[in-house]
Amino acid sequence: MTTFIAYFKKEHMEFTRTYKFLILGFIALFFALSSPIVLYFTPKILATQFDGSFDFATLMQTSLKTSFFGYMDDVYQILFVIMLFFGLAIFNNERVKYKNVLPKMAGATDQGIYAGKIVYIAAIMLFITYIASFINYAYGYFIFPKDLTLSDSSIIILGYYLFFMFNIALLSLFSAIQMKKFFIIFITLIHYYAVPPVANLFKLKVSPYHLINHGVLNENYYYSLIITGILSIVIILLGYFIHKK
Amino acid sequence: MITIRNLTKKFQDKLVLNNLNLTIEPGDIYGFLGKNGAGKTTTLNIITNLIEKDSGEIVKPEGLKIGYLPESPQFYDYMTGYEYLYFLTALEKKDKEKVLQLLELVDLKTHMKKPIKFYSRGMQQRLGIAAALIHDPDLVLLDEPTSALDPQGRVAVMNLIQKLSQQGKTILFSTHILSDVERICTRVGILSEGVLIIEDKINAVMTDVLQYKILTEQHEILKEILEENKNFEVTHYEPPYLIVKPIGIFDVFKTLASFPVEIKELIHVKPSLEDIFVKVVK
Ligand SMILES: Nc1ncnc2c1ncn2[C@@H]1O[C@H](COP(=O)(O)OP(=O)(O)O)[C@@H](O)[C@H]1O
Ligand SMILES: [Mg+2]
Repeated sequence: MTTFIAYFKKEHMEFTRTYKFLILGFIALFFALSSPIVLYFTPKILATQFDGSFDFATLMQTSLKTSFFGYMDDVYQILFVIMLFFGLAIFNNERVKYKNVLPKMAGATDQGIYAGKIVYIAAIMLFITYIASFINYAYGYFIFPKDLTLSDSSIIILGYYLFFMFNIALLSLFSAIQMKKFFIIFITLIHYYAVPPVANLFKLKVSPYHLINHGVLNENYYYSLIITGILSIVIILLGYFIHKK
Repeated sequence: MITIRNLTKKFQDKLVLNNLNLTIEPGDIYGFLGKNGAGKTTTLNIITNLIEKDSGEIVKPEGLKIGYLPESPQFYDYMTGYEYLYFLTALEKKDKEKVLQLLELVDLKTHMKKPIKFYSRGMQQRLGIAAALIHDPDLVLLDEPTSALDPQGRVAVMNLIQKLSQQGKTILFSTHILSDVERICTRVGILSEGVLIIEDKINAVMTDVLQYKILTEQHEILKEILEENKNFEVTHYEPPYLIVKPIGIFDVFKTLASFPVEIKELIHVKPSLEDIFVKVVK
């Protein structure tokens, strides 16, 4: 438990002092603020180019919902790739670069280290995701037709967040079984980009991938939320117990 | 304090430790010598449970606290020296006093508010020693604490090791630099081809390789006399000197004077560890 707390704090220090927090926050906020504007002006700019002969506004159907989903998709892809590298550094470097030797001699446990890290990532990502996404929502709320409620948007954010944590959980598990960096990157990317189409192919109704599929918030979506949450926790616990040895 | 028996370790097919035996007594400053790649780090990593042994036995008292400074210690270098040590104490019980004491001991108090990434190698090494001492270990293992340092840094670390010894710590440090060992160690062991070749009191090692150079015009007569006398072994003749080795401890000068030969010069050849090292690690 002392290891957990010490590493949670240490991870926070690392995130802020090595600018990881700044990078993630900046990207999330940059897209949150820029994407509605781009979306808002694109049809207008196109319209001036075509002398009003096309009605781009109706053609492109910009609304709060499209703006919001557009943002979530963009920012998540970018955050994901960045987090893949940060996550690798976070879970792998200690072991590979022997940074954990002195702490371990001073009483740190592998399990405590692992727990401190994953809980920190979960917390910081929850924070960044919600803040940035709500800013995007609020922003879009003032410039687009309002076709998305705040409560629905917070559930959608939760969906993206859980999908994200599901991937981080997998990544931490790969690292726990001491997989080589290259394979971790490879598998995680394949998983992230190739599995959603596969899930579609098999016509799965409930899966982690439904959370980032712009689906309607129906029963299946909620099941997907629950299942993804449970899967993530199971994977994280698995990693935790692998570290026990 | 700790005894290693028949320790064996292979990496893939490479036999690195081959039935290694080593004993560290309380109060030792043990010099653990060996060429690069001899297996020193491997031995220390096994003692500290960082890697697994293939076979053998490590006997130590229940609850023996071991501090370990790895070969090239890695820190969270965005932390300051103070923060890092404080972080280490927090893994068991936060202790600001202890941190300040250690910083004082390793002479880093003036730099404690600087991020570690701005520390010199010598400062990092000293911080590493402080880190190894954080839980008040009885036995301190230091892996090549001086190898990456300039002469001043090396002297500082050597002095620190002596200071620790005076405070009652038992110390083992590995090195491939012989002069370090000669200066401060009470005992030495040389690791070569997976076994410890000499493990004995440093003085015993010295006497073992102790030699005298004798200058005399009657070297052939002296040689005959000495060959009959059981106290000496004649090693060779290296003109103009006859090289002899005393067997056991006695007053060499008096004994030689009692022989009916005129001895013009007697040179006591104190072997350096370099000689010993070269001799055992052929
Ligand atoms: N993890 C490892 N995998 C394979 N070989 C290793 C590993 N660690 C050390 N070795 C080999 O074992 C030998 C001893 O290494 P080491 O203990 O680091 O020597 P020293 O510390 O005396 O320089 C070297 O030949 C080294 O290449
Ligand atoms: Mg080494």
